[in-house]
Amino acid sequence: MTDTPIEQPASVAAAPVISARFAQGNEGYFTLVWRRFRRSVVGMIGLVLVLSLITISIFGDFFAPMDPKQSDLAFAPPDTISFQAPDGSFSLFPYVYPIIETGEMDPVTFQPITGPDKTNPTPLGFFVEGADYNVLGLIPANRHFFGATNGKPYHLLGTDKLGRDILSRGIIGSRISLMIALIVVSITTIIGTSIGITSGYLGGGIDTWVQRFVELILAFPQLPLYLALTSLIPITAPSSVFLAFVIAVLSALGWAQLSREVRSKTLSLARIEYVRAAQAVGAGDGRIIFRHILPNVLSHIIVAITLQIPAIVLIESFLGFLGFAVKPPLISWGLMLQDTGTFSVIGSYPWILSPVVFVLITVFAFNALGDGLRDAVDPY
Amino acid sequence: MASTDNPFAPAERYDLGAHGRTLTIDARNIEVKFKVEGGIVEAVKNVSFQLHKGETIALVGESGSGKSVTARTIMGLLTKRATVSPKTVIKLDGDDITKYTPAQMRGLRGNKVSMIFQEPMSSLNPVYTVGAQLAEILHLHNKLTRAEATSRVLELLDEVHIPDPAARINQYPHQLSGGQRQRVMIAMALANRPDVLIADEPTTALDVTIQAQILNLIKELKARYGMAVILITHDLTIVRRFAEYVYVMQAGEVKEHNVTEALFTKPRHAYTQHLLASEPKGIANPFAEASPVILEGRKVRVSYSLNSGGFFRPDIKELIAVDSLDLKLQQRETLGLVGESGSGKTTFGQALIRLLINATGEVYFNGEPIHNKDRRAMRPLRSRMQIVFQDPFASLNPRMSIRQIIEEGLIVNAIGANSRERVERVRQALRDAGLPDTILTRFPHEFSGGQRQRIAIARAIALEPEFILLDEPTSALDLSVQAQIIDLLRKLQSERGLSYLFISHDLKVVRALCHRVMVMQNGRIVEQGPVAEVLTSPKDPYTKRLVRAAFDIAA
Amino acid sequence: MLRFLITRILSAIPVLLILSVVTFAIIKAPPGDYGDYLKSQLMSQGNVPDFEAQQQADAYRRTHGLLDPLPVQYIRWMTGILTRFDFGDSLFYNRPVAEVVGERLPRTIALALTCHILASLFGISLGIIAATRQYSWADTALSFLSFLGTTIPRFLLAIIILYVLAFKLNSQSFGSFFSLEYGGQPWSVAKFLDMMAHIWPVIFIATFGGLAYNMRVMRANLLDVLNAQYVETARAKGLSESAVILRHAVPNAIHPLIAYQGVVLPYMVTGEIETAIVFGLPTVGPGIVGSLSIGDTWVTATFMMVLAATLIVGNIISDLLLVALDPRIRIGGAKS
Repeated sequence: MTDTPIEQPASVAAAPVISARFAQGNEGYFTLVWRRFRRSVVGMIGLVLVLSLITISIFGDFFAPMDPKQSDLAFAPPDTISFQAPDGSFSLFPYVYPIIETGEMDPVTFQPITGPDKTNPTPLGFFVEGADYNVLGLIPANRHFFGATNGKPYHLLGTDKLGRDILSRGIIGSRISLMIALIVVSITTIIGTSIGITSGYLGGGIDTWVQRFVELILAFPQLPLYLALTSLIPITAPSSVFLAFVIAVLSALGWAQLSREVRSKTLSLARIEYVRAAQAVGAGDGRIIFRHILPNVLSHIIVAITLQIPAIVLIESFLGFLGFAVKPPLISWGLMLQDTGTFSVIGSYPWILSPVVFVLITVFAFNALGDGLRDAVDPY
Repeated sequence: MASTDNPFAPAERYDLGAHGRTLTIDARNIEVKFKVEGGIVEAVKNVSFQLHKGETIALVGESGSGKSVTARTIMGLLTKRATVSPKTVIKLDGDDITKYTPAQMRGLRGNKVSMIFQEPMSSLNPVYTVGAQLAEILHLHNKLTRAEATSRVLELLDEVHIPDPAARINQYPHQLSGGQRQRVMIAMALANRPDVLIADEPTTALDVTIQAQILNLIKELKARYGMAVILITHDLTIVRRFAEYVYVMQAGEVKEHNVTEALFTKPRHAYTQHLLASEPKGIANPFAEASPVILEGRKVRVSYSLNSGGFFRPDIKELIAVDSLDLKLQQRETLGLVGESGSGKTTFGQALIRLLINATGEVYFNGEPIHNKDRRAMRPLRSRMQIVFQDPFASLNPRMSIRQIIEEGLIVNAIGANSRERVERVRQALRDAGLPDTILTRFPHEFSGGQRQRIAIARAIALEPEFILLDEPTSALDLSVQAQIIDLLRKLQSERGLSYLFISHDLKVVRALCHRVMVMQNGRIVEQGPVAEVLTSPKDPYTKRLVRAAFDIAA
Repeated sequence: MLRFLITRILSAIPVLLILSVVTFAIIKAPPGDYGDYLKSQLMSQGNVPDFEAQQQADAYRRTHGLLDPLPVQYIRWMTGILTRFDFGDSLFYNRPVAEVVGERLPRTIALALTCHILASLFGISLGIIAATRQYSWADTALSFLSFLGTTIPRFLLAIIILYVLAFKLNSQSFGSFFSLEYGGQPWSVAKFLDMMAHIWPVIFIATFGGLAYNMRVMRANLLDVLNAQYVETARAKGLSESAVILRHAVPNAIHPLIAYQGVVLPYMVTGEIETAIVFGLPTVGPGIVGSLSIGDTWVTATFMMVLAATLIVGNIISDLLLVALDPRIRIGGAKS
């Protein structure tokens, strides 16, 4: 047999029927991943939530209904939204009515009856004027996503011990909490990946010693160590020091697990045929690591990142709950949870636990995204 | 496709009931569909066959032909995603087993109909002893005491010629070699003296000499117990030696069936003819005896230290993979390096092109010593010596496009002044390898095994090397694709004046492609010489065994 | 076997040593010590004027060696441990640290172990169910459950349960292991039930998280194993599906879970710590937090070391288990 006829790649009769769908379109890695990701309901929900979270966080001042520093009545309960206009008719736009005592007494308990004060309506609307702020720190504006049209205060989630609106503080607080998470995760990912790949690729003595070191780090009981380390910060230190310290502490231990996983993947990749082929054409170590090993470890890293972010957010909130948090004027969810440590406070004013909901939503969103990604990132 | 009747594959075989034999299995209209991502795949479209008592039939085909699915349909071992058409009727001794309840099917399996599989490495459960797994199948279909079962197990192990059965009973599968594991599988399958044995590629994963032993064992046991055998394979030599009737399958259908000799001497369907023509044939390109030596190795030695003891009692041994070997390869020559697994042939080849760092000895490329060059000094030489690997799926980076894969060598060696020139070279390499040059933006997973191997060859020739190390390049490919790759390699050699070091365990391919051959065993060269001599009249006893096993399947 | 054990224990010692140094340094680093706490207590509760309180605090410091240079304090502490098993004294409780730790540590370990065993049992069983019914509604429901379990942060769940218990149900049973009347009594069924009533949130929360993780890993492993050739061989022998799964597939799928004990154990211990802190149970977690905040150095340091030692022991046990269960590792390679 001389020259065999040139086969068209994807549609030869011998190839299975399915590959017809490869005939068109880009088959690059990210397209494949997106295609598979789209099919995961949980993942898509997570993606939408994460994107919304990030948007709300960046444009926090716009979304927050009130100025987070403005003080009102302390420990005020959440206002309820009603769709009744002051005259009793149905209104498309919601109103908020402060609760006041109606002057009558309940015949059985002799407690004053409380009810909505229709004489003091606070209509709500979208894109209302409110407190001044700067978009992205540069452009002055004063429109808020929604708020009271007559400028009166109202609190959908109640107020804290200094009378500040919890919802607004939660929205603004997302910035610091997410920022800490993103910075820590970036640092741990870079360190973990570098150490993992180097250790796995070079092998031998370096690998053994590095692995011993990693085992040492992993042997530390993490939570108590975080507690101990955060207690190192003097009470009087400014917030920026606290932030830097928390970031340093969380990064110091967080890279170890990732480095271990990256190393084991690198070990198997370092012997695989296409890496040997690259060595056979004369590619140097740098090229092999960056063009061959790293892209194939990437899938694992992406999933690890999306799952570590909520873990850091959680640790920050837990530390805040225990009393170690940033200082005003910075706001974070950890700080908001600092006041919730006492049982009596929770009992009388349960709404100050609302930051828990913020944390829950964030954790859920990133975990859902990570779950969806985990199935999608190995499309082969 | 059941509509157009294939005149060469009627529903009944030509020698039905011949020689007064009763019919054991009568299968008609086997049709199996699988639900997969993106649709339905018809794995088996319309297959009918008959099996007489005590005979061996073969189902032959390449990958995707549906032969394994057919076998599993008989056993009822299909997954939940498979649907068998209601038209399918499989009669075992007159009973339609497609209508059996699950309990009835279980009574059949391992009892009246047994099956052995392709991968002996993974066919036995790693956490149970050999004895326990054998006893299990005995207890399942018979009432036996523990003592009775144990003595029966010993008998079985003896029957399959496993030495020292009493010790083996308490050993775990990983302590046995591949050949021994397949023998245990056979013992397990035959434990209850089934009427039918289905053997799904039973020797594909085994070395050639072991292959012969296993097939002859099956033949011996079959004769002793009057068992019928359905042999599923892609290897035509095995079919010709062992099967009495042959069914040729492609894409889920039977294309032709006939008595073995008739099929091989007068194939009628185009596919059968194509398949038979794909057997490696021809001889190496003409070659001038006096050409200069391009690659020479002297006293090349590679050794490893291995822990062969257990966890608590480490037993570090030194394993000599390549034991001080010499080699000479001339320009335009194809030298075959032949051996079974563990012979050290791959290690030797990779040591010669300096992909292994712990080798000692001298290696000269075009007279220049390369054994003392470090990686940096080797760089400029890399483009002149290339490699093609065995596994087409692991040799291409799934994240890189075809263009990037082939261009990498050009970039690293600064060949081609700019991007456009490089792309042109990539295109040329693809064309020379028999691929369309429009596939630059595609990715490896879009291609079949044979196409990927061509891409790997394109990657190698893009650098215009003088020498290519071919490490079992056709072992993972279908027969017809293998023939195409062999032709391609021959063509490239004559066009470009390449020298090949061809590593393989397949003597038929070596005979078709190589000028000289070296036979390796346990790190040593046992015989070498021109292909015609060594493969027709071998002198060394090991080579003799190898040649007989490969060409005659004689143990 | 013995050699392996000894090597592991020996290699654990440097880790513990380094840990002890690090812990000690961290605890001693912040300004202020127990003397300050003592002084503030004296002033607020004893109405002692500033100057005298300061003097008493200093005197206390001298007698308890708090003024010595740090390395000296460290060495004194370490020699105490190594020669007399004396971990120092708790400044707050005025008792040997060994007693304080000895009260709390076993409880933490008992709780964490119980939760771990429950989480493993349930997680593995549910994982088997999910894998064998892949794509059915049971699988989807269990996936959702596993998602919840790995997502809902344990300390938040603890806070929520605490809130519900304390304020909605007016329950009194948290903050300790037993109600007052059962405190000193010998064990009985009633006492056991009373204890359960007190600590069920901790067990529930920690178990739930671990269960979800085990289920997910077991399901993934089993799905992999079900594709293995030896599972098909088992079916080809004529075994019933349940025998194939339970006898052939599951033992191979459990492996990685056992290997992962090294990761799971700290997870369970951390879970127990978090929850116990929220509920204020007298175990290790609140012990660490409490002693940290007042500078009760030796208690904190000992807790940390002991925790680390527990984790290391857990790892060693899991290594041993893995070897015991996998004949490939135990017996070694093939002889041809």
